[in-house]
Amino acid sequence: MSKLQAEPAGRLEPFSPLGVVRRALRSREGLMVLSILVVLAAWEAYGRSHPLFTSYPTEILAAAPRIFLPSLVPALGSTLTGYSVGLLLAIPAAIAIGVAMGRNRLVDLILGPYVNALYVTPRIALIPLLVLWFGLDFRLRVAIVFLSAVFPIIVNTYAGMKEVDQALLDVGRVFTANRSQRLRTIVLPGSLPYIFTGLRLGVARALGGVIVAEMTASISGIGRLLGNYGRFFKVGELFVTIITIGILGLVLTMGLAFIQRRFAPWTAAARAR
Amino acid sequence: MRIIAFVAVIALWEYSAGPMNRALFAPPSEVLAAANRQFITERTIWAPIRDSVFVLFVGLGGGLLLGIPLGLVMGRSKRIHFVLDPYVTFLYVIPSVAFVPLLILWLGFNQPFQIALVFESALFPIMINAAAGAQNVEPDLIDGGRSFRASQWQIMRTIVVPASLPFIFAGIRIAFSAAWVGVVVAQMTGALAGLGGMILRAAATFRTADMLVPILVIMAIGVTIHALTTWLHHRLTPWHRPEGNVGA
Repeated sequence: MSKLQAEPAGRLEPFSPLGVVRRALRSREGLMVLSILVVLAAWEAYGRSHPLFTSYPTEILAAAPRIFLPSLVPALGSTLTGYSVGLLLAIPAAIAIGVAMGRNRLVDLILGPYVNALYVTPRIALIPLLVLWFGLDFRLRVAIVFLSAVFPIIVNTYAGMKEVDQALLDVGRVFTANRSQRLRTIVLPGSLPYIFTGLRLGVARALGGVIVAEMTASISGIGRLLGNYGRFFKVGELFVTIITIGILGLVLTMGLAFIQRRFAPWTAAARAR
Repeated sequence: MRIIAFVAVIALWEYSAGPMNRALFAPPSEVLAAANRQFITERTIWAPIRDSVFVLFVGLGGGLLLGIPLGLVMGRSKRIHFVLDPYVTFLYVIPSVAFVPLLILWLGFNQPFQIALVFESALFPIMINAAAGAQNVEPDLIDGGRSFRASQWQIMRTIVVPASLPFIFAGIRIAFSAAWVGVVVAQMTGALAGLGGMILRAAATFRTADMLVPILVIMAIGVTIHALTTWLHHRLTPWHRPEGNVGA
C-alpha cells in the first residue's frame, strides 16, 4: 500500500540494497522476511563461533536429510500411533462426559470436583505412576495422551452446554422437540465453539504429554530422540527435531481450524485468535 | 451428595487397592500414613515444596515482566507485530517440553534451567493475550486520547493498559498454570529436584504411597493457583467474565 507514498526525489534508488530494505520496512511480508533473514544471519554468525552449543542454520539444514529417514520418520511413526489412538479414545469419551455433566445435575455434582482438580493438575506428575501401570510402550503413550486431552475437552464441552442460548431452547420446547432432539439440534451445535476450544487445548497438551513421557521414561519416539540428541551434544539434529515438533504443532492447530471452518463455519468467527 | 461421592471413591480406592501389589498401587490409608511421615514426623516434603514454589514464582515473574510490555507493544505497533509474529507463533505451538534438552545444554541441570523453562512456559501465553488485549482496545478511545494530544506513552498508560486488563488477567491465569506444569517438567527432566524430583525418586524405588503424596501436593497447589487467579480475575475486572481458555 504505502509503497505509493511520495519519497523525496533523489533518495529513490530502485536497485540499491538500501532502497530495497527501506521499501521492505513498509510492508507486512517485507518486514517478516527481513526479520527472519536478520535473525538467521545473526544466528549463523554466532553459531559458527560457538558450534558446540548453538549450532547454526546451514548445519541444521544439512542435518535434516541426514536424520530424516533413519531416525525421524520411525520416531514420528511410533509417537503418532500412540498419539492418534489416545486422541481417538479421549475425544468421544470427553464429549460424552462433558455432555452428561452439562445435562445431569447429579453427574455434575459427583464428577465435577475430580474433573476440575485433574484439569488443573500437571499430568506430567502422573507419568511415573502410569509407567508402573502400563509399562514403557504403546499403552503408556495412549494413557498419557488420553489423560492430557480428556480434561480440557470435558471442561470446555461442559462450559459450552451451560452457555447455550436459553431463548433457542425455549423455541425448541415450544415446537415440542424432545430432549434428544434438543440436544442434537440446539445444544450440541451451540456448544461447538467451546468444544473446539477444548479440542485445541487437548490436542496441544497431549502432544506435550506424550513427548515428556517419552523423554522421562526414555522409550522410543520423538521425545526419546530429543533426549538423546541433547545428551550427545548433537545440537543440529536437536534443532531439526524441535522444528519438526513445531511443524507438527502448526499442522495440528491449522488442521483443527480448517475442520472448524469447514464443518462448523458458524463458530469460526468468534474463536479466531 | 459430594461428600457421599467422595467417601464412596475413597472406600472403593481402599478396597480395590487391598489385593493389589504395593508397588503398583497404594490405598488411601497408606498414603495418609506417608503424608503424615513427610509432613510431620520426618518433615521431608517442606524443602521440595519451597524449591518448587520458588522456581515457579521467579520464572513466572520474569515471564510476566517481559511478556506483558512486549505483548502490549506488539498489539499496538503493526511493525513490531510483523517483526515478532513469526517467532511468537512458531514458538507458541511447540510444547515447552521440546526445549528441555536444549536448555539443559545451555544452562545445566539445576535451578537456572528450571527457571528458564518456567519462564519460557509463561512467556508466550501472557504475550499473546496482552497483544490480543491491546489490539481489541476500542479505537474510539484511542482517537479520543489522540485528539487531546496525548503522547504515545500517555495513550499506552491511561488507555491501552486499563482497557487490556481483562485479557492480561486471562493471560496471567493461563501463564500461571502453564508455569506450574513447567516447574514439574523441569524438576522431573533435569536434576531431580523439588516435588517433581520426589515423585521420580519414590517411583524408582517403588514406594508408591510416598510417590502419591507429592502428586497430591502438586494437584493441591494447581487447584489453589486456579482458584486464586480466577477469584482475582473476577475481583479486579468484574465486567469481564472469564470464559474458555484463550489458548493455554
